[in-house]
Amino acid sequence: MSAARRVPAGLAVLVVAFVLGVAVFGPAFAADPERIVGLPYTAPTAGSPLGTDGTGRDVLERVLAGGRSLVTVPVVATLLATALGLLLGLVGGYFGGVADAVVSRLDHLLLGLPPVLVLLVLLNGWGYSAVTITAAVVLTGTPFVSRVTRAETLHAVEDGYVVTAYATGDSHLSVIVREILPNIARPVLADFGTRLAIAITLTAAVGFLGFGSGGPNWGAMISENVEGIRLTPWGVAVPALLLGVLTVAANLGLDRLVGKVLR
Amino acid sequence: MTALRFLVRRVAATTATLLAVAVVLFAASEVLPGDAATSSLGLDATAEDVAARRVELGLDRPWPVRFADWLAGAVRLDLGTSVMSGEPVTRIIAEPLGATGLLVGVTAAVTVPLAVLVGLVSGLRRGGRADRALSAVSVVAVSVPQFVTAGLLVLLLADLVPVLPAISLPPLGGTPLDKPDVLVLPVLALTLFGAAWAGRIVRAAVIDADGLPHVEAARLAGLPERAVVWRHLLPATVPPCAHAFAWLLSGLFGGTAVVEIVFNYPGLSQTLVAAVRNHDTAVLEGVGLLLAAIIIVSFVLADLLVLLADPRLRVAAR
Repeated sequence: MSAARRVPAGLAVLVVAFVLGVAVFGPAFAADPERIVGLPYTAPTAGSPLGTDGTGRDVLERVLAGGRSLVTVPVVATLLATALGLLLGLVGGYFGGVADAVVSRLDHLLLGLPPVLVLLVLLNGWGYSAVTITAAVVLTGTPFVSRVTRAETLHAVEDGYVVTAYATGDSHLSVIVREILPNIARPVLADFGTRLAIAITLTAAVGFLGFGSGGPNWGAMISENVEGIRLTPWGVAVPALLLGVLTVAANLGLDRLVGKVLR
Repeated sequence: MTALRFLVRRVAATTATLLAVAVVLFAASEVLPGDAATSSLGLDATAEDVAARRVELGLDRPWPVRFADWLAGAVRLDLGTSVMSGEPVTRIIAEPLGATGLLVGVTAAVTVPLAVLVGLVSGLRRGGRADRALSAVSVVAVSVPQFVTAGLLVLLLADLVPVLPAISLPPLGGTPLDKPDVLVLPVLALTLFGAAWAGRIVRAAVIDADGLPHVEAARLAGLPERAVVWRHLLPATVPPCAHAFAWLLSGLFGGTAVVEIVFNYPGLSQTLVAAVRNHDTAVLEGVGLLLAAIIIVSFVLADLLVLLADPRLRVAAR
């Protein structure tokens, strides 16, 4: 990498690290995000550098407090979806027959459901909780993983080393874990970052649509403060920029990282 | 007659998938807690009130009976009645569906040509300056949540440079068409994502098609580049792209949700979100079935388009 390209790349890493830091460690620095500090939608002052929101609460405090769940919940949910998709795809691709038919139909059905609809149906039944969001991410994300896994497994099963391992008497489990899994990991994990970005979007959308806990949340802040945008733009601009950096970083940075590690 | 046989097969498969979606939707509202009787009565209802209401709404009947009832209604385009307002679900849905349909239609009219243009430019000159710039913009446009894009657009075009309305409410009693400028920002937000996402797929298809023997032959025969692209290269990109566009555009009916909310646009998502807030399961099931039907039907249309674009399939199917 030339020096001319290393500087912007380094800057990008710094920005991402800063946003991640705000999201993960911000809650420790936020005093009380619910405290009313002034009039609604005031411009920045020394006391509140980003102004206030529609209820007169400090925007900076709410930004600091409102990002952690947008990192933790999507990461856990995407890991779960990847594990479940791997399991389903491996079972379908390796054993074929009825197992494969069931897995394929299930993928097909889940892919036909719009993610936002799945999320809303679950919210309708369970109300807002981390479990509800996780379930929605797993339900909508799993079929993508399982489709790729199944296709890659179908290829791998015919490769010489797999046939050899099976012929020398290795058990199904040993063949899958020791021969197939290492060889399909790269294509299956290649778009982990993309799926994480989708999960972050879905998680933030819950807050944005007004189904959150009512506590501070970057997604919710955008919809809450958009009506006061002419009085003070910071309540929309700051959470929107932070969310944007987070999703782009997940999509672009993580996929590159996974690609490098697995090479 | 091959096209007819193909069509019959597709319609059968479509019906089966829709039926599966209907079962899932019904089962979900069955398994998940809370039902129409409790939610329509409010918090201070006694157990007897709820029981009486359940009988009144027919919720005391066993679920197979209710499912058959609901499905029989859906086939006759009767999606039941909202317990909250007492209105038929079809009437509640009709107007928002029109508004969302308009938004999706305009978005499609802008997105599809733009995506093809982006894909052609970056695919034919891959690795060039335009390709690299478009790729960088695409990654950002695809990753950033649509409501974030929408929020930033409002900030830019309704606040900093106030040329467009921040809120897309049509005039009272009118449709969004009476005041077309309310459509600009929502369409822009949806197009940025759609054109970037689909543009990458078109780009890949163009690169694949560029190496095909018949495109090469057309070039070697001395056809002008424009004729090569329009007559030979573009038709070859239809099969790999048709389903991507079908997925994108039909998904918009459910996916405009967050964008519609940013702009207060009176579309389907307002109805959906209100239904969830009120536990109005009949409306939720109705919209869900409708969205699934739109997705599945557009996939069949994509199949037909592919059949139209690729003469080999027509012969092979015979």
